[in-house]
Amino acid sequence: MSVTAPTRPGPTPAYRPDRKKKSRHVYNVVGLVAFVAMAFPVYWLVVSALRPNQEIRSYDQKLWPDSVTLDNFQRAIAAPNFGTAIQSSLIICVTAVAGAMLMATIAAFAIGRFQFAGRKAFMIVLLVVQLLPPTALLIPLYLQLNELGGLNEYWGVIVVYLVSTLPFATWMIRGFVVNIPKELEESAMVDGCSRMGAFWRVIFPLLAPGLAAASIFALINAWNEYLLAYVVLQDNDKYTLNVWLMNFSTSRGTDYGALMAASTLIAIPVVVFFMLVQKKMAAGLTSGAVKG
Amino acid sequence: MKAAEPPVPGLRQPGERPAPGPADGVSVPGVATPSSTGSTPSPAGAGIRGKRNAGALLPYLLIAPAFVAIAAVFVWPLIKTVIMSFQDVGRRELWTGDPAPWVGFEQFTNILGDGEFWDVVWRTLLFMVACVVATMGIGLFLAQAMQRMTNWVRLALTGALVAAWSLPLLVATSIFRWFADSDYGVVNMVLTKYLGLDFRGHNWWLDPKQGFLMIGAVVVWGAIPFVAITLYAALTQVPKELEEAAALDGAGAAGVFRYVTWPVIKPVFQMVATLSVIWDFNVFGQVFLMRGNKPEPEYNLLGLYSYEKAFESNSFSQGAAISLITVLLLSGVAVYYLRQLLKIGEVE
Amino acid sequence: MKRKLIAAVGAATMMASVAACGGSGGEAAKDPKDRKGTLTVWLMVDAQSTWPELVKQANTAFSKKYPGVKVNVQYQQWADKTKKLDAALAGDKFPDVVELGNTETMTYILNGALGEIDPKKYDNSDTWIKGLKDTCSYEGKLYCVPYYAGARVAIYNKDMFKGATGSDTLPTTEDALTKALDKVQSKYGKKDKAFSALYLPGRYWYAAMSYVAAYGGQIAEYDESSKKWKATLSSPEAQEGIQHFIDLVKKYNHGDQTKDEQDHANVMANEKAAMLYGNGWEAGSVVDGNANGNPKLKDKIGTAGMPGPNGKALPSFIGGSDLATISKSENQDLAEYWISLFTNEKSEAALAAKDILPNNTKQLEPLKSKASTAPIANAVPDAWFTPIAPGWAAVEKKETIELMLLDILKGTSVEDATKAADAEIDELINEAS
Repeated sequence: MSVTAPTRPGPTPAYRPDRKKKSRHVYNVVGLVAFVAMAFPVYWLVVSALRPNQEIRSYDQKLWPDSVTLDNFQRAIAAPNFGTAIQSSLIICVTAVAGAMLMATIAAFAIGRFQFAGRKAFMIVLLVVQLLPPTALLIPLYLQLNELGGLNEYWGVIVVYLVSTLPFATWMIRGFVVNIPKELEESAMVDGCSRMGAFWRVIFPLLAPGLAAASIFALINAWNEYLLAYVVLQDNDKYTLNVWLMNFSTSRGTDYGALMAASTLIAIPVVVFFMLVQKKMAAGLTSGAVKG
Repeated sequence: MKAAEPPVPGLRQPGERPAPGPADGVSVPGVATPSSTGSTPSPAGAGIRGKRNAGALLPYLLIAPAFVAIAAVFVWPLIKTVIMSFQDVGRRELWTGDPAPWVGFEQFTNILGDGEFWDVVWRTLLFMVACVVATMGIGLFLAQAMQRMTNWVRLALTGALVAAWSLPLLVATSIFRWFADSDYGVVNMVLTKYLGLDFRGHNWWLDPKQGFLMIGAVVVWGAIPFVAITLYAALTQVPKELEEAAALDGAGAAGVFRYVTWPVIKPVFQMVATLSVIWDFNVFGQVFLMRGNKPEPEYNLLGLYSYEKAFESNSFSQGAAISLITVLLLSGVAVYYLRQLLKIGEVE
Repeated sequence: MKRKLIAAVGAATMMASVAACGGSGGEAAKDPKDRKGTLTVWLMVDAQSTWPELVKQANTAFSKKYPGVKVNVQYQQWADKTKKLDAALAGDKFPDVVELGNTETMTYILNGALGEIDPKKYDNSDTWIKGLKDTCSYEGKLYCVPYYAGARVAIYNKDMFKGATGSDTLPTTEDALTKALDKVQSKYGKKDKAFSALYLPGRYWYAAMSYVAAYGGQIAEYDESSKKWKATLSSPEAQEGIQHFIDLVKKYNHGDQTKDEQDHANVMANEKAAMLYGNGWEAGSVVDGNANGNPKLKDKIGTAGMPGPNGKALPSFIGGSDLATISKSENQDLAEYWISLFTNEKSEAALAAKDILPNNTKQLEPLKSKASTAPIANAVPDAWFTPIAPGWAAVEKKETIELMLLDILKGTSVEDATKAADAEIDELINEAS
């Protein structure tokens, strides 16, 4: 969505422009303070990744590094299974996110466009799934994957990630489905498209912002998950990036420099993806819900 | 003036379509608008009638994949959790498949009769309320401020929010843990060096109030991006004209917010707040990692408590019972959330 | 009663596993060249980062005998390993060989998860270090194989001691040591308020219990008549030891006294401490740039036996790792064979070469005369170990002793704190966990 039109010179009775200007300064200050507060831990991550290891937890903390080194990054990249971890994370996250978006979209279409018996029950199921504390579910989930044969398989992890993001995704996309004018769909139908055909050709593209918004949630959820992936995946070359990260902690302490460098690298794809869809997402997040 | 009706039309994304008429979401497949094309009436009618039968099934087909996936992955574990909470399952039963003895409501009465449990519940509630209020308050304030700041400031802030959001919990928590460290922590350094207070060697964890301040900081810091960005997006839908008109009518800033802004952002706000309640109620990793994987008893929150019972005291049944109680405790919020969900479902 | 029941069920599972072995006994009878399948081994990540060549060696030797069996080594992480193992044992994808810390084994033995092993199949099993072997024994049977050991020693900055006392060797009695520490503190602590002559963190319970052992106390005692464990931290000896430890913490630790030992290497690398009481290998971490160490201190860090009260050396806790087979596994014979290769004399010698204590006293002997290993090797004979009790793991997870120390530092009297700790331990220690 376009950035709010900057001060419209139009007919608006210029009411106290001075005050407005002054208040803008105040808000800029607020913005900068908030920027520092939000960015400081991220800054610290990057700074720690660039510092020699013994300076990271130095007793004489400085807000900027005295010496900069890329050693930590080299160690992080050279650690065993980095490549396979990237591959695993990509396979798992891309599939889980795409699958969740697909299922959520068609489910959202159902609850957004139809009245049918069981609709409320379905919505309740969506809700209950979100209420459970994830750590308590670990063992029952593991046993279930054992039954299904999903242990040590990518799909075992994928399915769990997919399902845990379904409720939010369905919810969000539903908001877009109901906002799409019916006429559009109907005219397409009359043109000879089937209902599903109409959906795919006409409506799907209009859901893009909602999909973008939901997918970023799904991605952050899947990309940053650790415990389930660690417990379910057994072969070391199937470990995801977040599991691989923990290899920097041994019984002899943690290689914090490498850990921070690796974390910096791991965060990059998420930030890039986020930047790509961020604008659409800000639009997406609300037009769904505001409608209510 | 009555500005309470949400001025809906500003749904920008599907584009310039004027969206005629009330969006009456209930689609009745049979009554396709005859308008546009003057197609041959009778065959089309038959076709549509045929579709009506299919239409009755269609929604079920559409929710089927999601439903099956949820059922396959979650339903049995859920049932299993319920069953386990009425048994006494320890490691032996889990590993050998030996039948676990049934104990009826014993797990529940044990937990509900345990003074420690209620301490944990109150602590969790307090922590949750504090975190949610702080997150929503700061998030809303930032979102409003973002509307009014210069472009480059807003861009910088959005960038920071995005980067913060993308950090894995493990990493964010390690960093906050260093900040709070007594010997080499940046917090003590800044307080001592730049603010002239003597915080050298101050331990933030001895007093749980201070400790929870630090844990709350990670939780709130981690949740603000989601809240601020979402509410900012909601705020952009508030029509400028209405705000200005209200201001001209003499409504103060509070009045404008109360009568113009709030009605528009209310649904989003409620949604985000409810999710925050659920998330903050189940906080686990932040406490666990901030306390070096071994939190002291006074840092026990419900999520940790259930984990501790399950894995450390070797009673998976107690862990299960606690998580069911947690769900019940949350169901107050859940009912509210559900009503929102269903109400919205009705409106169309 | 419960103990008996456990023993009975344990026996039942043993039978079951023997039967399972019988099943694969047919397999075992076959020519090893015809054996097929996969042997899954869970090792801690340390083996991957510090001695990967040992794993390779064992695998190569293993496939010579069993060319058709694939060895799949999966490295585990310290943070959540037991959670993973707990889950895995409930399903069908469990490992055949698993590494366990020596304080973790009892939970798994008591719950019937580990298979019995035959010590005759292993090199030097007659001289296995007692502290490790005890953690593998239950009711006269053995359920795991010692892998390596660790002992604690004094680690000190030679330059600082030399600068303050004129000598870079550590005194051998505690009296002389405290005098030296006083000098170090006054020399280096004057300018730097956070400097600790001896960095002894207040929640470092392995150290505190070493002082308890030094005074002849212990954490808990097994009472033959009632067949029950009873906590004895409030005994006069134990209280004396704890008081001694607390006094040292308060006198010499000028950092945050309420931490545990996690910051050891970092404190010394930052030259904020002249001395630590830590695991032998921590001396290496202090100077290792890849592990938060400070390479500039290389050659300046020495190790020595830790002097204790009453003119004797301070008894060390003996830590370490064990390797076990899983009772449900159908490859127990293969698992035992792999473990025997991985812990044979040659492998243990390779560990010893890295200054890690081998699993047996025979190979330990030469280390006692080697300068870099003498302090740790000498600490082994009068080492102490945590109670081999069914509920000990639960006591550790509850952090009863750590929290007791914390209470004392916060002002509770030693007497009250130890009594409270005893009560808590008594509640947990006899229940299998």
